[in-house]
Order: sequence, then structure tokens, then C-alpha cells
Amino acid sequence: MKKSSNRILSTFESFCYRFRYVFAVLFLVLTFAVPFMGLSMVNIQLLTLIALYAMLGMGLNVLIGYTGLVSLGHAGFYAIGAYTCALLMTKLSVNFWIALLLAGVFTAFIGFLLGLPSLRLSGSYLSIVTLGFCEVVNMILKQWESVTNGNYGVRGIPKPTVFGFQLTMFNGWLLVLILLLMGITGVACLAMRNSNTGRAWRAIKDDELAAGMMGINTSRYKILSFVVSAFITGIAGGFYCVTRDYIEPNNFVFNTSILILSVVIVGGLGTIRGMIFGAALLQLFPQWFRFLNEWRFVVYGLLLVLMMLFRPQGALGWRSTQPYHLSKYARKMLADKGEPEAPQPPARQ
Amino acid sequence: MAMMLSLVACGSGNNGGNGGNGGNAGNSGNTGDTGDSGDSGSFDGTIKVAVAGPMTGDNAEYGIGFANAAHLMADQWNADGGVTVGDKTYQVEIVEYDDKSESDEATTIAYNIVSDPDIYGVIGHFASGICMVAAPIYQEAHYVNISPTSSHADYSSIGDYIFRNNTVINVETLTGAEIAINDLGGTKIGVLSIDTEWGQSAGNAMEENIASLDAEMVLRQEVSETAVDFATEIANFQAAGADVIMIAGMYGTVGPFIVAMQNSNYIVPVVGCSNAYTDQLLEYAAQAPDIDVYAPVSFFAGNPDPAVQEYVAAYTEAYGAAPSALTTQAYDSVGILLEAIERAGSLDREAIMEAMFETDYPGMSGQTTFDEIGDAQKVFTKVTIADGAWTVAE
Repeated sequence: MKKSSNRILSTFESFCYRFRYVFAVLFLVLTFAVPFMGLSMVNIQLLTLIALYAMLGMGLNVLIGYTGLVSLGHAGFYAIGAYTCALLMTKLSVNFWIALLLAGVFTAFIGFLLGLPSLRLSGSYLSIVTLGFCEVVNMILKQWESVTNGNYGVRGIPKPTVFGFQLTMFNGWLLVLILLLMGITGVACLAMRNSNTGRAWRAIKDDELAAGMMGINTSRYKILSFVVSAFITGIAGGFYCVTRDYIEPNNFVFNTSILILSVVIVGGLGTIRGMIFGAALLQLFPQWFRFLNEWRFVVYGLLLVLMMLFRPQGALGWRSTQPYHLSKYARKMLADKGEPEAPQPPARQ
Repeated sequence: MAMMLSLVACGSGNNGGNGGNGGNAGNSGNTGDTGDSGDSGSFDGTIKVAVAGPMTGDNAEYGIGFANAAHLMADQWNADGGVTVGDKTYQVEIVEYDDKSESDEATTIAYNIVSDPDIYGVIGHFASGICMVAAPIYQEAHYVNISPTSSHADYSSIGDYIFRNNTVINVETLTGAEIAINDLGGTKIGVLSIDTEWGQSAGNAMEENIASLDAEMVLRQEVSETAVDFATEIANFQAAGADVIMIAGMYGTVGPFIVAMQNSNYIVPVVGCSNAYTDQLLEYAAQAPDIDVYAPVSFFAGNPDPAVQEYVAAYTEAYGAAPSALTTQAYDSVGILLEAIERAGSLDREAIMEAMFETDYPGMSGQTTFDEIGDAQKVFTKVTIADGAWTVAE
């Protein structure tokens, strides 16, 4: 039973791998066709939220899934990204694309600062620090009225334009933008995962002491992991603010952090496919079961509990059955060292 | 990387499909029980009115009140022959949407509503921050939106389709300050506000109005909307010597606060805002018998006006409790919208919007007109809790 399911999985994975470029092109074609599909506004909004949360999930996944650092405060990074972008655009009339990039960079810088205590803390202690971070960000947004407008929030956020053409929710082009951002993030995450950096991260996750003994500079890689995660989350936040006209501190609370965390855990820790699946499940479930009224959250909670009991690795969190693909660079290095043939590790996760 | 790409592709494909289903399910919000009030054969069609507010979660009391009031108003219109537009009559159907007081959910709901071409107006949402997110969507889609409660200063100026049947917070808190200073003789006023946009606006307006009445605001404290432990705040007010406390908070804040005052034996009067006027607060007041609670309200169920009494009786019979001020503003909002549709004489959204500005509606919460940006003006009654019930304050 187990063997046959493994074989199916293996066939499926090699199929996906072989036709990866076809899928990529298909994804791009579908993405750019979105504005012409005649989707209803509800579906555009739902797909936008799914792609946005998939991207947020990918950001958090870098920390939890790759490096094994649990953050409960990603709504803080999300808020910093959204506010940076919104304030730059409304107060300083900065172009959206520059504001988006600056939002990512600034959030990454804050990620660097938050990453510093991660050198001394681990496990639940680190989680509590990140939890506090989220609360601190929320308090600053509420109290620093001269800059953030406090509880009044920021309103009148302009929509991005490309050569004078406005991207809005109504014409569907904002959905194209987030799908592209999600796609780029996904590819970048996968590339990083399979790079030296990604291997170092995973080594830290498996055993930090052993990783240090193997010569990995664990401090550097842990901070880098925070920076990358914060950057992705900041960009997602920057995008979030232009999907609406108005943001306020209450959009970025502890519950938001938990939702992002749920996307990662339900979908499948450490995978990219899982982020998309998790985001879709968590966004669509409340929509599908709207007719249950208040009972839908009971069902929703039950679903999550059952999931954790019977499939703790997440819905799509299977171990890959494919042989490990070493990069050309790595193969060349091994060859130069005179090793006859790169050893084939049994499987990668 | 390849695998990821493929999965992204598959994922996005799947999502497209799922999204489609999601939309359909999303559209099927629970429809009201308005159908039973008339044989639909006598109508030429149906006009849907969306009621959007928190039906579950912390502020559910308010959202459910909106929906109840809207159903009552719709039933009355349907019993009177429906809405006459040109030479056709339409049955009114109320469609409820639960925004859970969450911003993303409210956005999704707003898109749900504007995806339904049979909806001609939106009554909602409740919290200001939520209204601010949803209103631009209604504006863009040209759906008339009347919020019975939004208090954000910029709300009505979002666009010409955006109206509010609520008072401006300055006028409301001025009446509150008059109670505290002129009626109760307070000289050192403490202000407690919740840390939401509304709480901050209301708290600031209280500060201004206290100053304008030549009293002193001795201490302003901010608490979380969900806070239930007020020991520190009460000790601070006590230390500052506040002789009246004004609270910019929902009943969920005012209630536990007065109980805590009673328990700390800090006995001074409390003046809330119109949203404190709910039956839920009576339960808390029963546990704080020594604390006098006052509120300025635009609508008071004990008003002797026969029209008001008839409405209160009808509402009480249908839902088992007297309507609150905010519920009544929702009730009037539905009436205002339906009248505007009749006046417009067509189901053209722009014509309905233009007819809205000509509103002069004799509502239960007072005669209502809209100014050029869509703000309603109202007069307040001062109420207090005595013998476990709300009464007009002496």
C-alpha cells in the first residue's frame, strides 16, 4: 500500500519535474489571462487573498520550514511593510514600485534587528519575543500619531500604475500583480532552499550544534533567515495596502500572525506547494461554509484539530521521492576536488 | 525549482476552479424571512437590500440588531404593497452578510454584494474601520451605502454614494459633556476611551467638549477594546480625583468598568455614548447598583410619541427586547433607502443616489436629512438606568 502510493508520488513528481518549464509558461499565460476571464469580483478578491496569504506563508516558511525558528509575530512585519508603502505613497507621493521595494528593504532591516536576539534564544522563548514584537509594532502604529495617524489609519492609498495604466481590483490587474509576486517568491524560495544557504538553514533546523560543528556560521544564517523572511513579508504588506483604500492598526493583530502560521502548518511545513494549498484552504473554507453561520468556525476548528492529529506534516507535506538535484556549480566543485561521481543522497525532503 | 513552478501552476489552476465555487457559495448568504409577509405573485419583482455587520463575534449584538430592524422595516413595506418604482411594484428582500468585524472578511463581503445586481443598497457596516474599508468598494460599483453607525470623520466624503444615518460624534459627546458638567455638576472629568478609531475620535471630541464647557479633564486613559480588567485605570482615576467618568466605549467596556468601579468602591457617575444604550448594559448595571450610568441617545424606546411606541411594540413582539438607538438608526436607514428608490422612480443607481440627497425622512431616530456630503443631523435625549431599566434622565 505504502509502496504503491510512493510509486505514484514518484511518477507524479518526475512528471512535474520534466515538464517544469511547460507548467511555468502555463502559469504565466493563465496569470495574464486573468483580467480577460470575466471572473466575478468575489472570485478576484478570493484569489487575491489566496495568493497574498500564500506569499505570506512562503515568507514565514523560510523561518519555520527551513531554519526551524518559530515566529508568532509575522503580522508585525506585515504591518511594517503595509504602513511603509502606504505612508511613502500618501505622505511623500513616492511611486508605488519604489515604495514597494523600500517597504521590503525597510522590513528586512527590522527583520535583521529582530534576528539579533534569535542568536541567544531558541524554541518557545524566541516565539515569545516575536509575539511581543507584533504587539510592540501594533502599539507604535496606534500611538505614533504624527506619523501613522494612530487609530485613524491611513486612507486614500493610490493604486499602482504601469505607464499610466492603473492596476485595480476591479480590472483584475492587481490579481495579476500578486500572482506574479507569488510566483517570483516561490521560485526564489526554492532556489534559495537548494543553494548553500538553504542547506545551511536546514542543517540548523535539524541540529544547530552539529551544523556549527560542520563549520556553518549559525548566527549569520539565522539572521539571514530573518532578513529574507521579513523582506518577503514586507513586500506582501506593501501589496496588501494597495488592494484597499484604507489600512488601520487593527488589520495587523495577533490573529493575523496565527492565520499566516496556520497557512504554513496546514499546507505543509517547508514546502512551496503547501503554502498555496494552505492559503486556498484557509481562505475558501469560510466562504464555502458561509451557510453554516457561526457553526462554520466550529467546523473550521475541528478540521484543523483533525488535521494536526492525523496529518501533522501538513496536507501536502510529503517527503520528496526524487533524487537530490545538485546544482551545476556544486557538481563542478565536486568534480574539481577529484571525487569520481557526486554521491547520490537517498532523497530530499 | 521546477517542481515548485509546476505546483504553482497546478495550484493556481486549482485555485481558479475553487475560487469559482467559493464565489457561488459566498453569494448564498442567508436570506431573510421576508417572503412570508405577502404572496409574491402580486409583485413584479424583488429589490434586495444588503445588511452587512458583525453577526458573530464581539460586536454581534449590533449586527444582529441591524438585521432584525431591517427585516421588520422590509416586512412593513411588503405588507403595504412593496416598493413602487414607476408603474411596477417590488417586494423587498433583506440579505444578511456577516463581516465578523474583520477587515479582510468585510472586503470579501463588499465584493460579494457588488457582484449581485439585484442589490440596490447596503445598510452597514458597524465599526468605523470596517466601514472605511468597504465603502470605497461600494462607491466604485455605484451601490448606495448607508452606515447606521460609522463615525470616522472622513467616512461620508469617500464618495457621493456613501451616506451615514448616524450623528456626528462632536454633537453626541457635547450632550454627554453637558450631562457630566451641567447636570451632574462635575468639575474634574476623567475620560476612558477604547483604542479603536471610533474610541479615539470620541475621546478627543469629549476632551474638546469638556474644555468648551469650562470644566477640567483630569485624566485620559486608553484601554483595549477587549480589556475586561480595569483595576489600574480605576486606581489612576481615583488618584486624579475625577468626579465624573466619561467613557468612549461599547457596552462591552462600559459594563465591566462599572462593575469594577463598584468592586473598588469608587462611586462616581459614569457618562457613556449612545452605543452604551443596550439591554446588555442593564445586566452589568445590576451588579453595580451604586454607579449611576447616563448616556445621550438619538432614539429612546420610552419616548411617548405614539409612532415610536408602535415601533417599539412591533420590535419587542418580533424579537423579545426593545430596540437600541443604533438598531433604530438601521431601521430608519432601510426606510430612507426604500423611499429614495421610490422617489428616484427607476432602478438606476445614479438616480437612487441623487434621490438620497433629497431625503427628509420622519424616522424613529428623529427627522433625518443629509447634508451635501451625506451626514445626517440629529437631536439627543439624555437617558439613565434606574430600577434595572432605561429611563429619561431628570
